[in-house]
Amino acid sequence: MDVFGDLRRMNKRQLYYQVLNFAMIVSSALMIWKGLIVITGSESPIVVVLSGSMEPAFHRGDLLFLTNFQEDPIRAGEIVVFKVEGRDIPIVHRVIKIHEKENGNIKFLTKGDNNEVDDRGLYKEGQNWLEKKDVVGRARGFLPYVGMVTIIMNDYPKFKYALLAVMGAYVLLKRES
Amino acid sequence: MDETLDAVAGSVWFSILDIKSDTEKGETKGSCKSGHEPLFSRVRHFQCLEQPAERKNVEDFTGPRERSDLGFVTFDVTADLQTIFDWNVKQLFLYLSAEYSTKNNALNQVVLWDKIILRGDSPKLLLKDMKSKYFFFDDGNGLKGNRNVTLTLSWNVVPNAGILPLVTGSGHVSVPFPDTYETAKSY
Repeated sequence: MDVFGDLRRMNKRQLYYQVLNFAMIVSSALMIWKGLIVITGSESPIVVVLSGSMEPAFHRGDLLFLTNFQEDPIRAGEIVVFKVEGRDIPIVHRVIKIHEKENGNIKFLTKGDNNEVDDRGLYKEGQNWLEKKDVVGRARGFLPYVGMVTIIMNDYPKFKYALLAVMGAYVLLKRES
Repeated sequence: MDETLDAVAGSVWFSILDIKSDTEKGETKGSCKSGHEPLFSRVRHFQCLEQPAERKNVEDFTGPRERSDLGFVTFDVTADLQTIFDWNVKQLFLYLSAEYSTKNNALNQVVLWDKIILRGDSPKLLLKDMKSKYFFFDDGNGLKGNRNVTLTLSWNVVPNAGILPLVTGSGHVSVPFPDTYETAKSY
């Protein structure tokens, strides 16, 4: 593939065209992601399972699709993704206890299927219950293995850069004839 | 009188950690029917009998530091889940939950017991004299004299890929709790 020959032959206009093409692809991807955030009501509509605490249902690397509609009441047995105050990492576990007041205020307790004990040890110091505001979303759908790519990219950043470089090169050098 | 009961019940706290069979009760108060009624639409046969629920009032050391009611329920589960398993079902997460209202909270749901059934496991369940896996603590003292505690069997279908539905079986059983606390027992 005479890539460098091609590069020399490209004039400025074609280069700008390629760059714009690239920008369009990136923007479309971002728009789709933002659109998903709006439709599902969740700040993170697609998450990757990071730990084995929900095995054998979900394994590390599985992909979960979330919704977070405020009208959906939180009920025992549901799988929720929540963030502990002050920590970034979302946790996927099951609701095992709820206590809801008449005005809708709810406090609930979670536990991983594969864990012996409930999640009180994971919550903030002194925190015994989770509230609606801690919830990132409810797990509605699931795809196995697909999220492994994200985990690999996180664990091996060199792989991530290599992938990005290859994708960038492909898009920039692709010529529509 | 209540305080004395509480104090006595409190002293029994540590013995709760190794619960033996609590079967010396008074009359049966459970309102479960003993016939073979198909109570669940997709589970062909669910029958539940339980000994009368008892209740203690103790400190929950794993949670908020207040005295709350602690309920004890024993139950049987008979179920045939064959019809739920299809080509896309990887496992079922079966759970028994108690739902009730109290003065403190309009709605309470507590999962008492759960079981994972993988594709390939026997879909017929015949479990007797099961104790709740998890402590049935109320948020307060709402179990005392509560006649309307309902037990339902539900399950979460985990597919090989796709939607994760949560289904509740169509039958339910009412478990009335007595008006008094259980005091010192033979442990």
